[in-house]
Formats: sequence, C-alpha cells, structure tokens
Amino acid sequence: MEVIDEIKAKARALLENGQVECVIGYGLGSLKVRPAFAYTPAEVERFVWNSNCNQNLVNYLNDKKDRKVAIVAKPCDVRAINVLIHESQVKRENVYIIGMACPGMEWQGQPEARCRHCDQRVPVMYDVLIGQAPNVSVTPDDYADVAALEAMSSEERLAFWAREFDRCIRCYACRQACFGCYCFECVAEQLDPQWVGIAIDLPEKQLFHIMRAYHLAGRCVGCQECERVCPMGLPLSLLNRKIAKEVAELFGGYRAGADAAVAPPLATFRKEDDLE
Amino acid sequence: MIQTISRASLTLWLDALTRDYTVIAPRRVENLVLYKPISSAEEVVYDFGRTGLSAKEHFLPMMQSIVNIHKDQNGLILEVPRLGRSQVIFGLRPCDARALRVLDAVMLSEPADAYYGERRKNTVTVGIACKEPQEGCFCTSMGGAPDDEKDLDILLVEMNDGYAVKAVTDGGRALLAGASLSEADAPPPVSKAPEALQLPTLETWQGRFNEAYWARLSDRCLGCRLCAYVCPTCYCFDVRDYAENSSEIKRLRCWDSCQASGCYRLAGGHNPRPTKRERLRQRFYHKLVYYGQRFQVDLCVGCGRCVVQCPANIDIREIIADVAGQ
Ligand code: SF4
Ligand code: SF4
Ligand code: SF4
Ligand code: SF4
Repeated sequence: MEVIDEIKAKARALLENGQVECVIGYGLGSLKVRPAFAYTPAEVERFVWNSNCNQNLVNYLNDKKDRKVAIVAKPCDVRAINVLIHESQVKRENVYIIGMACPGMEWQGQPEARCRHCDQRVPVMYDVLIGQAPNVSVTPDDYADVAALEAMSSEERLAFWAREFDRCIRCYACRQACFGCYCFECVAEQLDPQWVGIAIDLPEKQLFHIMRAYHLAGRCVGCQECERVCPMGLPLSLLNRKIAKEVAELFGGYRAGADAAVAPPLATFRKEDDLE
Repeated sequence: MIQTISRASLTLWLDALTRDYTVIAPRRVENLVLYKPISSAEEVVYDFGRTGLSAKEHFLPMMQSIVNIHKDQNGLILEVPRLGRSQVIFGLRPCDARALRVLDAVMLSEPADAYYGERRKNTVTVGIACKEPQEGCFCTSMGGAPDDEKDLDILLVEMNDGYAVKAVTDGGRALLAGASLSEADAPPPVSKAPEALQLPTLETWQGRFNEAYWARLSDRCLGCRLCAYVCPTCYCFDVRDYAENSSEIKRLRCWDSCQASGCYRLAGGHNPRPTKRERLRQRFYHKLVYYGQRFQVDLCVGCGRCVVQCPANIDIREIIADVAGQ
C-alpha cells in the first residue's frame, strides 16, 4: 500500500469507530499543501503526503484541548507533542499520533537544511507508524550559521540583529504558527500592564523577538515553522538555533521533546542544581 | 499618436523628481521588493511582479504620532506632526492605486481623517501596468484591470525600449513637465488579464452567515495579522499615548488587525467576536459585503497578496467561489 493510502485507511478507521472526532493531516490547497481537518471519513479523501508537508501541525492541538483527535506527525512534530504533554497542555490519551517515518521535506524546491541534518527519521512516540525510514546519509549539524554569529563582535551582532528585526512588521505570524506559543495573552500584547508598546518600531520588535526566543529556550523543537511563515524573511531559526545550542551545551545535550522520558531542564528544579 | 519615454529619460526624470519630492518606488530590501523611498533612480526594481507589502504604509503608516505633547513652564503645547515633503509613488500597480480610492471612501468621508487626507492630497501616483497577472491575482473580479488607469495620475505601459506614457490627471500632467517625451504610432502591447470570478449576490452572502463553513475554514487559520498587514485596503488601527519622559508625550497610531484575538475585546473583558470563526468571517463579510453596502465599492482589489502569503492558504478567491457555489 502507498504511504498516503495507509494514512487515509488509518484516518478513516479512527473516524468510523469513533475513536477520535477529528484527524488533522495535510491536504491539497489552492496554491500549496495546507492543513486539512477531517471530521468524517469522506473528508479524509483530501489528504496528501509528499515532500511539501513541511508544516508542523502540532500548533492546532492547542485549539483542540480535551478533544480526542488524531494528528499526522513527522518526527520533529512529535517532539513538539512531547513538549506539550510535559507542559500539561495536551493529554497523551487524547491524541492519537499517526507517526510518519520521514523522508525529509523540501522548501521552495530545495531539501530543507534541517532535514539534511536530521538523524531522527522515526518519531520517538506514536500510536501507529507509517512509512519506512529512508536510508539516507545524514550530515551532522555543525552549527556553522551559529558559529558565524558567535564570531562577530558584540557590536557587529547588535547591528546584524537590528537590521534583521527592523524588517519585522509585528504581524505575529511567527508566534501564531508556533506550537509552543500558546500563552492566552502574549506579553507582547498585554495591555494592563503594558510591557511592550504597540509601536511597530525597532525597540518593540527587538523586545518581542528576544522575549519569544527566551520563552522558547529548551522548548523550541527546530521545526522552523516561524521562519517559513514570516512574510519579511527574518532568520528566526538562527536565533532559535543559537539558544538550542546553548541549552544542549548546558544541559548534557538536551534536545526539546527528543526523549519522552526526560523532563525539560528549564521546567525542572532540583535543590542540588548549580544556580550559577 | 501616443507619448513615450525611453528608459534613459525615465531615469533622468526620476532623479530630478527626488530633488523636490520623496520618491517612493519598488526597491530591494534584502530578499524582498517593497515600496520604499529612494534616493536615486538606480535603486528602482522594474521586474518585481508584486511587492510583498502594498504602498498603504505611505498613507496609513505602520506607526505614526498623531499628536506630540510638550510640557514646559508655559504649559502644554500640542503639535500635530505634518508631512514634510510631497510624495511621488512610482511603479504603483493599478490594483494598489484602486485601493487608495477604496480607502478614500472610509477615510475621507466626514469626519475625515486629516492625516490620511494630507498624504493623499500631497501624493502623485505613477503606475506601471502589469504585463500579466501574478499567481493569486484577481483584480478583474473586483472591478479593476492590469492596465486600469483610472485611479492613477500617470500610467506607464512597458514597450520595447521604454514606456508608453499617459497623463491621466492634471497632477500627472504637471509632474511630467520636466520629462523628455517622444511620440510613437503603435500602441503598447495589451496586458493579459486574470479570468474574472463570479461574485456571490448579497442574498447568498446573507444566507450563508450562520453556516458551519466559517468554523471549518477557521480551523486552519492561525489568527495572525499577516493578511491584514499585507493588504492594501485593511485599515484597522490602535491608538495609545506614550510618555517619553515627564515633558514629552506622543499619541501613537499603529496598525492593528481584526484577526488579533484582542481586537474586539471591550472594557470589562467581553469579546463579541470571541473565536477565530467570528473574526475570520468578519474579515470576509467586511471586505465583500458590509463595505460595499456602505460605500458602493468592495474592500478588496484582488491584489492577491493575502492569497499567496497566508501561511494556512486561506484563499479569498476560494471563499468567493465557495459562497457563490451551489
Ligand atoms: S522553530 Fe519556531 S515555530 Fe518551531 S518550535 Fe521553534 S520557535 Fe516554534
Ligand atoms: S512573522 Fe516575521 S514579520 Fe511577522 S511578527 Fe514574526 S518576525 Fe515579524
Ligand atoms: S487568514 Fe491566514 S494570514 Fe489571515 S489571520 Fe488567518 S492564517 Fe493569518
Ligand atoms: S483582501 Fe487580499 S486580495 Fe483583497 S486587497 Fe486585501 S490582500 Fe489583496
């Protein structure tokens, strides 16, 4: 059976036997692959599976809290589900994971860089696994982009980020697309007290991005959804990768969501922790 | 007989204009092409298709102080910031020009918005016709056309070695005074137009307001502000006062969006449009129903920006077809 037929068969069965009320998968859109929500077996027919299924759909689980849903999830997406479970946003028993062995995704016609470096082609957790892990040679991530950033003087780095952040229009697509940005009211929009003004100006943009990056420290799974949706082409992953690298260095190679059994270091407190 | 301008003369003319006007034109900003002020004609990008953002920010800035308040020993002084120089928007597309007329309906009807009005009055638009539609374009469905001159001061249409020039208004004619024009017999090539969609009737729209369609559509909407911010006709804003220190206060007006979760939240916390369903539905009813009822023109010009840029592929053309369908 083709991979897509296996996905459809599973999704249909889950809806037919009432195990879930909705299956979140990928469907064919007017211009691109887009999220598809199937509530009936017939709606499963629109599902697709190909190398343009980049989007991390886990964000939509935040809208379906306490509902029984199934989701088509790549290994990186499953890491995001793991983070949400650890943070008590999603209950494991409410989510049926249609885990995909991942061949790697493409973006704008090119294999995604994150996929070239990805060594986890089978999800860490699933209810059903579909597809075969591809036999690809993976080049380990050398963090060359982060190293280039670290090689700059602090003045150069400040100028680099000011230039990038300046293009931001505060449309918040990055935040809204991120599974980890589920705060009911973002600090960047809170009115009383107002921590960040409404000005679409460099200081506010800078504050928003630095705050968001820190709030995702140890939680960002590197899905790069934020960067793909940004209409202004901000290199948001560079910021997230810098922090992910720091977290890995400080906490014994920790990778957000990569191990269902390991509690997130920044959400854990032990008396013996070195607070420096 | 038509008037033409060679590429070389166009460059000279634009450079001359930068001396008296803020000239805004499509230019490269990293990997994007945006309408931004230029200091020389060299910066202009001609093969841009469609810019990432519209030229709206030059009429409704993303952020603008509407009153500066200074406090000193003589008391309070209120100062209204004024537009420094008149502006020329070069390379505007006919749909983006139409968007200005559409915005005029709400912004200039009484009580008129003085800030918008000042910018409108002090701007001359020089359009370039689209040779062919871009992915997502549907101007012809919304009353426009890729070579529509009616909302521009000057329209340029690309020809072999330059542009056909048509001064549409007196303002356009005056701006062309310094340009070196020639004449040609053959008309410029005709633009390829996108196919027009069938628009739903008012009754159809009204009949569909409570359908499950809107909840299902909003399932995949992220509730971001991208569609509103890239749109040439969306005009929501928020206003707030900021004290820079004890004697300087600014009243800032900034872009806002009807898709933001807090956009309709009232004092006391009630939100009449509490979920993405109501907010997304409002976006399309405002654009394609309510605005037309009030101003006899729809609040969408079919520029296609939201179509190609929405991360969730919420496609207004598809919505028009879905609502019209059956
Ligand atoms: S890459 Fe971006 S969208 Fe994905 S988890 Fe990290 S911050 Fe969120
Ligand atoms: S998506 Fe891009 S432009 Fe929008 S708020 Fe995020 S960084 Fe800024
Ligand atoms: S329609 Fe698209 S661009 Fe608009 S708020 Fe929803 S996801 Fe964002
Ligand atoms: S609603 Fe979309 S297509 Fe219509 S004018 Fe706005 S951005 Fe363009």
